[in-house]
Amino acid sequence: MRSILVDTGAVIGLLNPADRHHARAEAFFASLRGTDRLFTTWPVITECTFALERNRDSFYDWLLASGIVVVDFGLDDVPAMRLWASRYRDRHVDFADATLAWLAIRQRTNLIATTDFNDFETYRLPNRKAFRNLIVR
Amino acid sequence: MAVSARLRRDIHAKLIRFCSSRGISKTEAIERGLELLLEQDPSQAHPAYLAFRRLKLVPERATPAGRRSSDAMRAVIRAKYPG
Repeated sequence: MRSILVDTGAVIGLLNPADRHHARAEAFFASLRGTDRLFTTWPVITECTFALERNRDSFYDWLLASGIVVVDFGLDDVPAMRLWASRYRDRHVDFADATLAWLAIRQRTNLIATTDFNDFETYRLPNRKAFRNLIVR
Repeated sequence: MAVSARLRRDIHAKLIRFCSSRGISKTEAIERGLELLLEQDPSQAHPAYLAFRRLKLVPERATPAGRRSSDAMRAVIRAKYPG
């Protein structure tokens, strides 16, 4: 059973037929095994609702049926996110990205689905491990 | 687990030839074949993909190339709260 983090671009790529990453996002979701577990955070969900204006109802339908687990965090978790993001001041790390790095540690996984190729190829987890993107560039 | 199945004569002959040429048992060949068949079963796909297949999606408005979701969000929030 694999634990896979889902970033905003993977969802937007899947649900926007005009997105330039649509085919590769669809290929990723089609390749998932029934036993794979998907995780994300609320900031990712917020970004998705902004980007999927015309498909917002479809997004909610998908979210509720996808089996994806939206993991909550508290203020106690923010200092760790802030510390991690501070390593990459030159990249202007989004809060959503910081929450995914936090989630990677919590779920003990480095597997991610993202179309933010450059950032997640650069990022390292606090244990120095690289993310492994399951969406093919 | 033992399962009995009645095969057509021609299928059985093909199975014998296949196993002989590959050096595998009939059980192994049948197991591999069933695995391939089950992998193609849509019900084995992930719920996230099955949910996607049920949707009727429309293209979103175009955004400049290279623009990230957070950029789009920033623009909307700034427009809503111009200050």
